[in-house]
Amino acid sequence: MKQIQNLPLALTLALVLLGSAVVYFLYDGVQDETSAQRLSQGEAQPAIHRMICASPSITEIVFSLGAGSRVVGVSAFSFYPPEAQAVTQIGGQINPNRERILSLEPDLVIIQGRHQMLDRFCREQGIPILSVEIDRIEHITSAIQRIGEVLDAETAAEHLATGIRQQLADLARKTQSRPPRSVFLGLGHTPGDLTGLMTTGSGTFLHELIELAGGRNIFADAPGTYPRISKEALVRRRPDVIIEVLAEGISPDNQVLLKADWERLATLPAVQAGRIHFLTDDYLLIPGVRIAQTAKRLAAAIHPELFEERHD
Amino acid sequence: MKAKALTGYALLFLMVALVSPWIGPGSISPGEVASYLQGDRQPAGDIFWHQRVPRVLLALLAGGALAVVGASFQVLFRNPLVEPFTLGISGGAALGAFLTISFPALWAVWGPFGSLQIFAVLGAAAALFLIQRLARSPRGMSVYTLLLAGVTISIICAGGILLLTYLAEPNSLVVFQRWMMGGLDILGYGQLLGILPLLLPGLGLLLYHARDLNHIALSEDLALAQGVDVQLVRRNVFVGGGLATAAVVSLVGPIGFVGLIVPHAVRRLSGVDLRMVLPAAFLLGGAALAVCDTVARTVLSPTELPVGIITALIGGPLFIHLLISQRWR
Repeated sequence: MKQIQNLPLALTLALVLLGSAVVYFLYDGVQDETSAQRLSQGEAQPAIHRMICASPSITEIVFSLGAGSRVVGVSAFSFYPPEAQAVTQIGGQINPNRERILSLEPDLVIIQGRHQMLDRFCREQGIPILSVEIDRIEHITSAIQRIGEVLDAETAAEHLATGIRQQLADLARKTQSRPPRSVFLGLGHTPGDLTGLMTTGSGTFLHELIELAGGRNIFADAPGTYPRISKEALVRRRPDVIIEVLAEGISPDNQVLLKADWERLATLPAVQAGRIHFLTDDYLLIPGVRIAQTAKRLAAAIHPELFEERHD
Repeated sequence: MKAKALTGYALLFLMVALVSPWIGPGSISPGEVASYLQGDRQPAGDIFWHQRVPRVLLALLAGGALAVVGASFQVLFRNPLVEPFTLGISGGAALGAFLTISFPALWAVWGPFGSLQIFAVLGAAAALFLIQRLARSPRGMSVYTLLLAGVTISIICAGGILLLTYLAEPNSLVVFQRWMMGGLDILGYGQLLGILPLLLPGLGLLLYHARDLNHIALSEDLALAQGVDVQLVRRNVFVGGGLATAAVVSLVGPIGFVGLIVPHAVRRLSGVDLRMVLPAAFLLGGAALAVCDTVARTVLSPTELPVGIITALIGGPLFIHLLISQRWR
């Protein structure tokens, strides 16, 4: 047998392996007696009285279903509806405060997408957790229905989802009468600096709303969901309309500054025709119950003539 | 003298360990804590025993480990600016962690080992192995090559991270950014248990070689004359420190400063004998990180400040104070 030359190191590595095995088997012992509880489709559920909404979109949906009085905690930035602002905040969507969650004694936590930390935490604490996808339009309506089922509010959910689909369909019918305009949707920039512009790729609800509103997203082929794009590519693709969505409200003075940046790209059809729009409301970037409103705002920017006719 | 100084560090460590679980975003009374142990499952007691206590324990362990590794590496590399993260170990861990965050397909949990920890440890281990291989030569392992290889691997990992950053979606970017700032908000005792198998043997190896490192610190020729196998000690200290660092980084992210500054502080306060410095660094490093974490979880309630920000903002000025006050002695 070959003699071991470096005994301390060999012993250390052996301890690492042994320790990992010991810890793996010890693990169940240190866990709480509480067992994993996860809501699964079609299971009979007890009525929910103390729920936590872990993202602004979820808060909107739950309140719109008339279940706001059963909410004991919401994530930061849950500004809509106004009643939600009175509810205890559990911190940000990505880094919620777990002490706060526990102290609220929730009987359900609803999260958006996958959230490894919260998921694990709730499972260890035995708090039921419901996860819904809200990235695209169809996800939003199916999330509404899924949350409706769990909260025993199927009728309200059906009503809400149908309403949103109906409004979007009406808008699509209206904008289809016009040839689509090519649209660049910017996610904001700072004055004097057009570097690092971000837009939306084809995987988001914003992209779908642009297309519904009679536009054609010029960066639908870009990789990633919210890619950064080069100005050169922007100039080559000659958008007819430039829309910047800014979650924070900006003053008219600043809008002038931002517009001046775009006017330096004088070859763009959007600049020549003066079709540069700034949309500034926090709900525009939230995939929630107000997407039909967002779609209407986009359509009014892309095809203003359609909406002027109605007022005449 | 030595025992007396260590007692001082131990008292500080103990005091921090006993006091900091009581400080946090919501107040908890001793009665609630005691009644939880008697089976009364109220949220306040639960928060104390399942949130605060494991978290403070992790801070004490992680801070201590980083300081011990920093102290050993500074001697090994004969460079006062080396810290546990200089050598690409945290770069590898960060790359592994970011991969996990970006690709939900990689998500899995095995007992106490979550996917993020597993991939961070794998990344760190890969970096460790690679650096060690690169530094090997027929004449033995040179610390300069080791340092260079470490820094290079660090840069390559940073490049990989930039590439992933470019391709990632904003949501995972934010998650990763938070991870990079470091945080100690663990869940219960399971994850704490999960880092012990790497952490304890790694630290044990460093302590085992403390005397040999003392000789090497004086002069490598003298150490050889004393019968110290310098090559073996170098490799072992590097691997032992790497294991401990990987364990810490995988769970709490790269928390800077503790591993750099605490060893200096200890050396200034209690001399250079590593048999003294290593235990003292563990005690002081643990106490320092626990204090910083207490601040981190309290000041911005209901959200938390990443502890890495606090260690830099509190640790930096404190160290400058130490530097200045020593200069005038």
